[in-house]
Amino acid sequence: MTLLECRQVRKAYGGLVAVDDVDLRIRAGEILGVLGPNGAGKSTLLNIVAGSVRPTAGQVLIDGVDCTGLQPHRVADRGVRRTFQVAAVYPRLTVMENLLVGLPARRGESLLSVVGSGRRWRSQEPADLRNARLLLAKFGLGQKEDLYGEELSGGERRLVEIMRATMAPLRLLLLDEPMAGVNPRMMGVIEDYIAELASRGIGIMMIEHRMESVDRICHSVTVMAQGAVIASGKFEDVRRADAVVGAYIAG
Amino acid sequence: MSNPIIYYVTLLAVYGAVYAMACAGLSLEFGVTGVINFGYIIFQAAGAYTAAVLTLGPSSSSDFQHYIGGARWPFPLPLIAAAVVGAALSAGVAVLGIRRLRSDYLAIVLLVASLIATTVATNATRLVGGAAGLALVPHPLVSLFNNNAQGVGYNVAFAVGAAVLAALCLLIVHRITESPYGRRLRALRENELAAEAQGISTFRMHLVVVMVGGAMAGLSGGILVQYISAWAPSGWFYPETFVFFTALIVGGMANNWGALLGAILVPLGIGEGVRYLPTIGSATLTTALQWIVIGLLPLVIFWFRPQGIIPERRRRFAGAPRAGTPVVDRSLVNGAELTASSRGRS
Amino acid sequence: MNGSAIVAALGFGIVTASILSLGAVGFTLQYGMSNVFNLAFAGVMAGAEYVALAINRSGVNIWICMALAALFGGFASLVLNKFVYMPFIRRGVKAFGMVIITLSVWTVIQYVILAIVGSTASSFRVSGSHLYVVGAIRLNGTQLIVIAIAVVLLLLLEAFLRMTLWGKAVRGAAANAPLARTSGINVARVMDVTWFISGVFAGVAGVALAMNVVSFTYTTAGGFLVVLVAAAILGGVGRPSGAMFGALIVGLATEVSAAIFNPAYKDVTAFVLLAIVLVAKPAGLFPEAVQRKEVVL
Repeated sequence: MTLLECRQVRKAYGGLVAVDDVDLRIRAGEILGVLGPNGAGKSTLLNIVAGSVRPTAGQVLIDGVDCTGLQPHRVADRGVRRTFQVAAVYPRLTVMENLLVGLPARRGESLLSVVGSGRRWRSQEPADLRNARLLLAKFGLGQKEDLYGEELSGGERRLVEIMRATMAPLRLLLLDEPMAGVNPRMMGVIEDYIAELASRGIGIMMIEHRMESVDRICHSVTVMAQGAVIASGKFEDVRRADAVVGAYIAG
Repeated sequence: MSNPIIYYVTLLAVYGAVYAMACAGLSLEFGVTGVINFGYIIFQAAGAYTAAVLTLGPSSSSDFQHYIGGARWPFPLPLIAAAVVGAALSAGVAVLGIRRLRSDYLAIVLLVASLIATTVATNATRLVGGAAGLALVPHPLVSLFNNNAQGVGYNVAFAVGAAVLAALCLLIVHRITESPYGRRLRALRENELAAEAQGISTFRMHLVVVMVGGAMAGLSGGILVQYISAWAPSGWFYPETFVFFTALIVGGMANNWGALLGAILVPLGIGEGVRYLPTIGSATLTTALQWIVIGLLPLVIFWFRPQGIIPERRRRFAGAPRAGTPVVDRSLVNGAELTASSRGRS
Repeated sequence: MNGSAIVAALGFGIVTASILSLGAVGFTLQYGMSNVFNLAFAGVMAGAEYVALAINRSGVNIWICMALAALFGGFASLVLNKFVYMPFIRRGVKAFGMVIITLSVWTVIQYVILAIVGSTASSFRVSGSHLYVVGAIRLNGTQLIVIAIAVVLLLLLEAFLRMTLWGKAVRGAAANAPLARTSGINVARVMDVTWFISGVFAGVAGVALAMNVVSFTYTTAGGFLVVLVAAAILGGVGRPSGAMFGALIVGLATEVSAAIFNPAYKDVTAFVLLAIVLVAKPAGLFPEAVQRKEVVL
């Protein structure tokens, strides 16, 4: 089943074409690596899918529904979560709060009910805390739940961002360089976790420069250069393609 | 206690309550959500005019003051109307501005709007009384006190009523702030782009928040005008908004005690307290010094104590594993035993 | 309402637009460089007005006073950025907090002036000048000189930005400070120069404004800030040429509307214009290339 489909997606800033008629598909349970030199348009593509950049042309379909140009929070409502190139944790929210914000709003959490009938939302809190703590323990941050986002190291911020993204009922996860700045010992944990999410049927698009990680967990890869897709397929096949090698040398 | 002292104490209490109410609303907008509403005073003024006009009765051509929409509504309808107008006006501003403007742009545009609103209210003499404003606004429920608005009983009752409403506003802001809803607001304050990626609609949240804040500002204006029974453009010139911002910055943002402390220290302490000190030099000089202090305070606080006197509390959750807890065996991670054991130790 | 009054208003409009463009360009130059919305710009204008007044009272010609006030404005603006704003930015105050800091500074400056000079209005001593009449437009020599000064200064600025190495550095640092830094531009120095220049513009605009309104008080410059900000936003904040164009539109529109309706609503016209533009084109008539930029260190 196709979760995400990009059809001829294009983004031009004046004369500069950042994303050049890109086609792309991600199935449920698939991990797609998006590779390419800096400035290849990978993050712009991710931003287009997430709704924070409006494409000049083309379509983005999520679960077969046209989501082109939808606002970011509307895209998120469809079970899409993303991370940012520079890890975007909330500096003055604790690690635990950072994770809880990842949950979608539920009954009893509207303005009127929090003012009027008080603490109905409390009933859900223990379960949420339990899930969040399991996640924190998995990533070795069990004792840091009370720290502010701004008190974490760069790598820890990235972990929190990934955990936060997976708090919600998730269909599609967009990761922008999840390994950048992460402690090498933690990379394996992240890789395992991404693979585990995929095994639950979540589709994952992962921009990544670290080839070992891509090789280990990505089912397929798409290579971009100067906005366009220059190769796609299995990583072993793609990495030898002349165009790919050329793009990296040129880039 | 002698009557003058009671009168003075109740006066301070009413002003304190009015400022606390306004600070509560602005704390929700600015401290919790990060909306820089530099036109906040407009909404207080709108509430005051609404309450005044709805109690003064129809304006006739022979009157010394002219205004539109005069009526003689019974208590508490004028106050409710004041809150509703404050909220509705805020919603209008939000729909026009928030969706479109970066937060610092919006701040400036609201500041400009504040100046313009004063210009209009001053020059449109038939709208809300022009530069002279409105006077002789009736006191609410004064008939229950032998129509003696100067009496001790009435003043004490008014002060208590105002304090209760202020407490209610603070309670509402507290409930919002400490709920998951408030957590999302704080996330917006910290990083809008990230919050939107979590399904939070900046526009909808900001709209709701400025409406709640605007309602509190409007209510505070309504109460103030019914107490002092007069209202004029000179009382809500744009720097008055800045007084509330200074109050929050000094008191501490995103918490009620900070808002309350700020309301007491800044507008009440500096603004009202100074009236009772001997005049330094001329009256102009006193005013100037007062404003210089209000202008310097945020600079001093931003430099030495950016979180304000009472900082925002770090929100801890019960049952957190603390330092000293043995590192959890990864084989336990997928089981329920983990939470049980960590909870036991904390 | 007759046509000649509107034509006459166009004459005043050009004078207002000249002053406005000096202010708006200076304001936008600072914003373009530092991403700080400097409300204390009005404070620098007011300061320059009273410096000029003090010198003028000792019998010095008003145009010399204006030049000295311009220098004062330049240094005041430079000092403000280097010793007030920059330290706060280095402490981690974001664009969000800087608005409050600039408003604080503006408040302090405005009321320090009140404390020193009081609330009574003052006027410059300007030697009587000839009235020039072209059709319905009547402008005196002073007003013509103000227009000439504005045109010359704006042309000089444009030439500086486009033709000199320093100007290129200013534009480069404004567009992308980190990149400019790595390509060897001394961003701190460039920033000083920019704030100095914008302060000179503030000084000239302040004195010209005070001359134009004839009698001025400590709040005159502050009131003008409204119109100035409207012009700057209209032109798309951060773009000097846009600010010039915004100033022209706002200047003409306010004076013409003053002739048609009530002069008291001059500023309201500027605001309504601003509101319409913001609703139609949120980023101003000439949108900036870069959005959501943070304050620049």
